[in-house]
Amino acid sequence: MQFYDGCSDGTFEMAEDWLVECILCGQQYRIDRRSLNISVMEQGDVFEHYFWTELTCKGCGEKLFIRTKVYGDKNGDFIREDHECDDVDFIRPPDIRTVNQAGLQNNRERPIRAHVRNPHIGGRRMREIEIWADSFHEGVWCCDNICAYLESLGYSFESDYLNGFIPHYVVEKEGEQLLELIVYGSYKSWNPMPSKIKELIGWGKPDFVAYDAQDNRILFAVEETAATPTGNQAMQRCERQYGSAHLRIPYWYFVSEYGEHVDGGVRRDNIWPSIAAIKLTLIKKTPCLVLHYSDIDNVEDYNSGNGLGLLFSSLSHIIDNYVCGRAALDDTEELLARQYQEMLLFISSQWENVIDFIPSERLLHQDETAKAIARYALGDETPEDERLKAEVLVWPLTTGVPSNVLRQQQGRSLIKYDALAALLERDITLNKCYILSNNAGSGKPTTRDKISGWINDQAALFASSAPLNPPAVFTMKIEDFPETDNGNIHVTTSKNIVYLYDRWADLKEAIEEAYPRLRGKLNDIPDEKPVFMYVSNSLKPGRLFGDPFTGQLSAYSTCFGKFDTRDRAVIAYFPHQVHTQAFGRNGRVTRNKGTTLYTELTDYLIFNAGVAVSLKNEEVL
Amino acid sequence: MRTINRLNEEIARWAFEIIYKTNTSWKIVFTNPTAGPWKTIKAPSKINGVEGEVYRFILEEDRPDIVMFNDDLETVIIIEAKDSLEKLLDRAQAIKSAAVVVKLANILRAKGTNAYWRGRENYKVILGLLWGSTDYPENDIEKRRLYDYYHNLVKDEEVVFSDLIIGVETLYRSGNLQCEAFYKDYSGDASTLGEHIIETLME
Repeated sequence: MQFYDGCSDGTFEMAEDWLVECILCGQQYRIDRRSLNISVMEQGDVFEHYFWTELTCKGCGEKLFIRTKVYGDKNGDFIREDHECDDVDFIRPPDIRTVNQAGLQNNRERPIRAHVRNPHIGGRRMREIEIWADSFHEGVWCCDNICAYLESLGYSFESDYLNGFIPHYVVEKEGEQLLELIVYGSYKSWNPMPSKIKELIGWGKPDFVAYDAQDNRILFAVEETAATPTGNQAMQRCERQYGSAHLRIPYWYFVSEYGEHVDGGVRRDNIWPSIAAIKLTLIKKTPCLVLHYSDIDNVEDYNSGNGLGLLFSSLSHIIDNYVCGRAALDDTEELLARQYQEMLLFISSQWENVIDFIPSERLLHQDETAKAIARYALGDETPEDERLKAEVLVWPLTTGVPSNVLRQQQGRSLIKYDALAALLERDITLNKCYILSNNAGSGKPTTRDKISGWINDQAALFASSAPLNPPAVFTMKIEDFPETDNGNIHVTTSKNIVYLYDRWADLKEAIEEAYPRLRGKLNDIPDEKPVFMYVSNSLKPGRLFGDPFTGQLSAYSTCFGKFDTRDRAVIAYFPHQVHTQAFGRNGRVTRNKGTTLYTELTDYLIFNAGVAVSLKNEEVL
Repeated sequence: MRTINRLNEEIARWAFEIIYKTNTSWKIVFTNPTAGPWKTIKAPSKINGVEGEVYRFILEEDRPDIVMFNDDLETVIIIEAKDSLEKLLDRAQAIKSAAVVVKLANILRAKGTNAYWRGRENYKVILGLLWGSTDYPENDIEKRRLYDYYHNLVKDEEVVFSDLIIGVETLYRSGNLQCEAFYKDYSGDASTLGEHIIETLME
């Protein structure tokens, strides 16, 4: 330990005198910053810089001990600070400077508030949560609902705007101000952005996030959408679900169960986000939920169905725990179990409209399944629960597929010919793999002009590639794509986009047959390992690392076993996209949410002309 | 508290919107954040005050940034917002924005049978522009250039009351945001209405 006195220890410095108040008698003091005692102690990777002084209160005679702990890393970078004292309150938070930087830090991770009334009451410091949101509306919607639910727990609240526009809520109980909620709308507009928020939105931006600046942690993240749940809409946002689970942040996805399609018909939500959420819960041991709003008579109505109530009773429960100093998820098992129950019932009632069979169907109806998933969410699983995890929603090898389903699955002709897609379809017939449904639909045909332009763009991107060995040749031309009756162009090769192979050796054989240049190059996966093959027929440049493919791949990879006990390798195939889009001018992988997700989830990407990419190894094959 | 590192459209628009949490002369019936349960125009019935859906934008449909009305002035303002005046002057943007105003004005005029819009179908529909500025407000020459540009795009549209163009500037200075409204009268006899609009917008 090292000792100093004054206002600085050479790393951090108090930039202003301390203004404090005795909590027993209200006597106020200005503490000369030059009079402080300082000690510095190493605590593992963190250094505690301890600034303190003491005095006897003139008003009540109490001995007052005043301190501020500043935590920094070995480079002297600020991590956090704590100025909570037993007998004294800071009237204004201490202003901390990093000595080796020119500007004032102003408590980089724990900012000084502009006008907060009574930040310290009766010796108990009012706590603060920042709601970071895509838009102010979403942040305010979150706070309004949380406060409304907190009222049922005996709290009251007032709201105003800091600096005339930043939504600000003060939550009270029995006259005591306990919590502030401050909304920061439009994530990237605010400075400084906490490292945890930056880390999370790198996986895709949830609509709102509750951030505890004092402990630099995220309490929960929520994605809500008013989009009609048709086609890929619900899956577009699944990369956010994955990102939150990956970082072990409790996550809720709030989506309409029923929506009106442009054709006027009513559609019901897709099952995959719910299945992925359950599997992520089991894998990451963190709550990951999908809640539905609306019902068949009130499509797209946020206030219909159970979802809204379950969402905000959960979030307000977390906030209540936070205010009371309990663990964030304390006493939530029953509440979570109820939500998992809703998800299981939804899957159970909807899967037959989407796929030919679902594994472990009987488990979807058992109350105990939801309870076990809730225990997993809280990290309280039992040995019995682990057996359930090995079974629930685990897509089997072909030998585990019901024989009548397997018998009916036959490879079908392609809409637009592609050598590898044709072999994948052949392998269905040979029972080397199976698919989800015999009723998969095709993508929407596009105008000739667009297709022609996209092919030219892809050709230009391909031309920017470094030489490959053996050479790969770009041959895609508009004549390869069939025309519809009204002159539009099909880009769909096979209608199926998911193939579940029992053995990598079988899929590798198909890939090498279609693209002989890849022979002997794809060696990172054991031959006997099962594989999930994902196909995207997208042709528009730039799309493959954006919506909906990133979300879709995240959900499917999770659903089909990337993290199962008997895990599957993941291969993504883009017959109409070229590999150079994954790389920047410096030859390194471009970093965006798409490449982040693909690097995490895929073993190989296979592109047009049989170019394979391993993002993990930053390697073009 | 954190500070704004750049004034964007979301913040500029929000600073204007929150005026109407307390201002009762004008009511915002639509705002265009990125997502959420706000993709419909919702208004209170003139008869019983019950709020309901007037119009729902479909998925890919271009939409304005703010729609607001004033029953006393029998006026609707449809606003396009950008983080800077320069962006509003972008030719393609301006054409698109003006087209959105014209289209929506036609839609609202045809909503005479909608329970929540009935009685407002013949209100004047005025084009509004909202922009953000940092440290210094835009000068009058630039503002006039902006109004004139948009006026030219809507002056022949009967459904739009093009005698007036409304401007709103959100100025970010010293950590605070301040909104100010302006108008330009193109007919020579709309200034009384223009004054009333500005007065009530900022009250």
